[in-house]
Amino acid sequence: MTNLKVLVVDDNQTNRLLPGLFLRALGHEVSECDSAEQALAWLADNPCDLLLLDITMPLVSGLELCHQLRAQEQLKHLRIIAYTAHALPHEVALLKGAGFDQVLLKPISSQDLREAIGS
Amino acid sequence: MSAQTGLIWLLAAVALGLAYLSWATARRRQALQDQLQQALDGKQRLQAFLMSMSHHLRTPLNGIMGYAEYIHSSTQEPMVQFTSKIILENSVHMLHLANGLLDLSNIQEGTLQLSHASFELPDLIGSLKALHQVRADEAGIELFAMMANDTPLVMQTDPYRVRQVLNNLLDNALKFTPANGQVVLAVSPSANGRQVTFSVQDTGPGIAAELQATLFKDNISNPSRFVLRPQQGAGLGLILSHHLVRLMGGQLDFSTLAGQGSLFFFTLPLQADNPG
Repeated sequence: MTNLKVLVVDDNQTNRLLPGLFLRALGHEVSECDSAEQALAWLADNPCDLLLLDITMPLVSGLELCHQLRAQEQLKHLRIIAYTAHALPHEVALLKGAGFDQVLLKPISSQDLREAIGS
Repeated sequence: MSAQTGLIWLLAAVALGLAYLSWATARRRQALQDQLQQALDGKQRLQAFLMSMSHHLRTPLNGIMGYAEYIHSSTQEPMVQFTSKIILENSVHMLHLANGLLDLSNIQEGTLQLSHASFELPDLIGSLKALHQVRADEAGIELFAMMANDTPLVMQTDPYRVRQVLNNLLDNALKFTPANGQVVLAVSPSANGRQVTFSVQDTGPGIAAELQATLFKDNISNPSRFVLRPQQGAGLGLILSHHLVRLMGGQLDFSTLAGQGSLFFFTLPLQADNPG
């Protein structure tokens, strides 16, 4: 697998910094944003292969951000993985129907993360 | 008083009586409706609580488990490895509790989806034994896994849920059996060859008489579960197992003898009805 440029968006610092610990050890390049607004600005200026996106965030939720990104021509095909604790079957189905490519459930292990980005 | 006046009084009294009766009935109907609504509201509140509990447990568990794994994998220091592994093992228990609440919420809502797949019984039994062997060894308990000779090798139902139920039963058996005791996992076919019976037997203290009637009851808010068994958890695993076996077309049952041990058993169709 080639090295990926990954952006992690999560308002919770603990959970925002965790994927980077595992992903950098695998040789990927990881950046972090703590809000949807910050992520939009970052994505406008930087190349990105994969977005790990928390759902429950204040102001603009991950669901809304995903919606906004899918409406942009240049980001329509960006790989977006929901990074969430919403584990109910209907919640997972809702996310998959709302434009997310995959759903990665918290709590994650390094193996969950490897499988999610490798597939 | 003339007969006519008497009749008027009588009619008035009857009318009053009827009016009171109809008012009392309406009032009672309203009270019953209020009670029903309260019960439904209560059920919905419990539902919403179980669902948000799962979310609120998973979010901090992500930090606890993720960083503990990171520490565990990035040190050579034996004591740090040992302690971070303990954090991980304990948080796995908590994750199981969160998943259990989720399952229970889905079962109560009727939205639990069973999968349907063929699997090999010897593989299932072998891996269950291997999984619980470590804990049995640590506790000084002899663990046996047995399949009757004529047991079919392949079964079709939800392999994940069969495993979950047997895991729960084995967990309980190992938890309650003292050192030098025995735990036996057994599988055998029914006489007609269309069903399989699973059982887990232990040599623990048996189940207290006052607990037997409510062992599979859903009432997790019933505080007696915690009072009667302060050290032993809420018994969520048994409630879930009972529901899961029923959903797979069987019935979980037990027999127990004080001081001798307990036997939990259930029979499942070899081929579950395909949900489609």
